[in-house]
Amino acid sequence: MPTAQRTFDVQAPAAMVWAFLSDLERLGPCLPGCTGVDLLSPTEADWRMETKIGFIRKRFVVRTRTTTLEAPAHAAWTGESDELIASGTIDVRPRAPDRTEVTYRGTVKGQGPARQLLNRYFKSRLDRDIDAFVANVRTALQPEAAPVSDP
Amino acid sequence: MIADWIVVGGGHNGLTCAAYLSKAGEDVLVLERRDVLGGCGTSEPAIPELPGFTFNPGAFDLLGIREQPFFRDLELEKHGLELLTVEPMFLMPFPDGHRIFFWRDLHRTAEEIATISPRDAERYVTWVEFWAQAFEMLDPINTGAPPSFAAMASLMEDSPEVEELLRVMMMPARQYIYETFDSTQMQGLGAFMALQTKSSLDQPGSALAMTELVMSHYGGVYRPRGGIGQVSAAVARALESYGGRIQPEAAVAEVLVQDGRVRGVRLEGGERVEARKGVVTAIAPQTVFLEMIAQEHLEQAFLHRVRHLQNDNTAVIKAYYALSAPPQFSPVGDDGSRPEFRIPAAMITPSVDYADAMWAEIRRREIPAHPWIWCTFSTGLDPSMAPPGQHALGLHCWVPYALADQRDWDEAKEEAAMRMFDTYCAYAPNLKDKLLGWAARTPKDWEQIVGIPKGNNFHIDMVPHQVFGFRPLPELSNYRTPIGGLYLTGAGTHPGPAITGLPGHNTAQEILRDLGKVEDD
Ligand SMILES: Cc1cc2nc3c(=O)[nH]c(=O)nc-3n(C[C@H](O)[C@H](O)[C@H](O)COP(=O)(O)OP(=O)(O)OC[C@H]3O[C@@H](n4cnc5c(N)ncnc54)[C@H](O)[C@@H]3O)c2cc1C
Repeated sequence: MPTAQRTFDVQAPAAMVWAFLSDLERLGPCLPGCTGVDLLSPTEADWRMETKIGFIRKRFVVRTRTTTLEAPAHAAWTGESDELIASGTIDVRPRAPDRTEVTYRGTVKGQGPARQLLNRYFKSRLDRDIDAFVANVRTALQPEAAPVSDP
Repeated sequence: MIADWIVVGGGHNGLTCAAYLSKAGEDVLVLERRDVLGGCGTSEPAIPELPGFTFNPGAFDLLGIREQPFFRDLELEKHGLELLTVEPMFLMPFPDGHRIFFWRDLHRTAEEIATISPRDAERYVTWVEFWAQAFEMLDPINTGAPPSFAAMASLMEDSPEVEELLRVMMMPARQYIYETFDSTQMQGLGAFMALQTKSSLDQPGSALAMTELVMSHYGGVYRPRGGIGQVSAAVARALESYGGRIQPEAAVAEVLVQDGRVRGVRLEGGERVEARKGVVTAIAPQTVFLEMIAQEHLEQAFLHRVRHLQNDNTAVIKAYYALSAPPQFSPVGDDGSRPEFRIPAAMITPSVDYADAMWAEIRRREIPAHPWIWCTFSTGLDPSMAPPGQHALGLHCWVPYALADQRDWDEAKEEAAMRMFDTYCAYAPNLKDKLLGWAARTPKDWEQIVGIPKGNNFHIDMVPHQVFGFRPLPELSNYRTPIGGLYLTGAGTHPGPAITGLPGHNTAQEILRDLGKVEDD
């Protein structure tokens, strides 16, 4: 299953980072390709995603649920659409009053008739996507950082 | 001898498959008929009386190798592969004095083309950019067993680009060349590229071969220091570091089958080698089924289909020349002071008319008087390929497998080699009296030395009905066979020829999946 992990620092207090990353409505838009979020309940949301692979432009809605919420340090979520199953974990550790270390681990797996091919696509871009996610989180929490959008 | 897995053929794909299996903890033995590893991608002192020269009898350049899974997964650089960057990547000389260098940088290349046709320069940029996007979509199809057409279709949405892609994929190259480029020279380039797959310019689907140039701009072109054989040498070192074994000079004569399952192989000397888990053949698929397995183990209908795999008599000859001086392309503006003339592979096919003439000659089963030639002057980038102050050149072109005048290739060899040399000398006239020695590998030699049927370096033709999920046949395209435990790999399987390691990688992934060692994705 294509999986990627990054540990990175954010120049913001841990409480602020936790509040942001444990909120599906604010987390979703940091994922490259997310074009909108419909919050269904405090722990459930639809992430509207659009991905472009060469000439293929695929739109899908990922129904996402928070599965673990151990404030203020650890959260986990899962998501599913017709095309994929995804999950993520977030670990937040204060390093200094205004500096927080975040570990994000994401997995994504194709579903349906094209699952093998989708997995190869996911594998080929997961590293790039997770780097874009890190940059987007930083931009949201430290506004001076530059945003990275889905290519 | 005994092993869990036997791999038949120590070309780079057999070695790559074996290395992945060994890395995953399997006990693997590679059996190679020659004393040299690498198959069509070796580096050898091909002229016996000039042992100080190293030639690449077959492959010479690597396209986008850094992006290939085997380069990364098998840590080929750690295992001794040193890549030299080929820049400019290609040189196309023309008889009218024009020339085009193809640089990795697309816009720098467009500036070169603009000296011939500003409109073609613009079209070239658009063309490359279109295909680069297409490859983003197509590349992942190559890094595993070919997906079903239903799976591919389920990802497609209507768009003008997808429609254009499908249209061009069905097109004959001639049509696409004329539609894309105006100038004779750029049309010649299109023809050169299209002829790479040994298809006529009128074969539907032949337009796709033109796109290799696109990949070069994005993936770069490299040459291993010491010659192309260093790729297989590095893969072999990786394999041995994982505990795999290689047995050279072990030609397999028979694949042994009992009760529908493969049991091992018999060598030409008669020795039997037992395979506890399975056998992977990394040689031409038609050889495996038609010559190595007792026919009672296979359905007649299946054998009939294998017998009719397309391998239509177009073969390759490569000649090697030891030179006392480097080429100077004076007719196209080379005064000898610019090293970029001596780095890239040169491509000779100045026009569509020239390509048509060559194709007609091949169809008449003659040695082409208008040879389509890939020219690699290797010492320009890597002086280690020849003694100090001397130089190594390789030229190859397509030829008929059997000549109409019934001449044996041993007799016709010199004529073909000298015709290519003379054609090259029209662009590098200083070489005419600089030839120290030469040798050539004809279709007959390829068949006898490397075992490729009819000297076809693709093992089977690269034509639309033998690519993706049709290679070599739909029922064999996921590398499994009707014989339990017997798998195929190599240039005759998806995604086909070239030094990419992809068939070897893909077969290993399917075997490991069957062993439960990789997740079913
Ligand atoms: C003239 C020429 C130029 C080329 N140029 C390029 C290039 O520039 N770049 C590029 O990427 N590709 C190029 N290619 C293509 C490339 O070399 C091949 O596609 C590639 O080498 C195929 O690798 P393979 O391992 O599948 O098969 P092969 O290289 O054909 O290897 C098959 C191996 O099996 C062994 N074998 C056969 N029968 C038996 C048997 N019975 N028992 C044991 N062993 C056996 C053979 O000796 C050989 O070692 C070129 C090929 C040729 C001929």
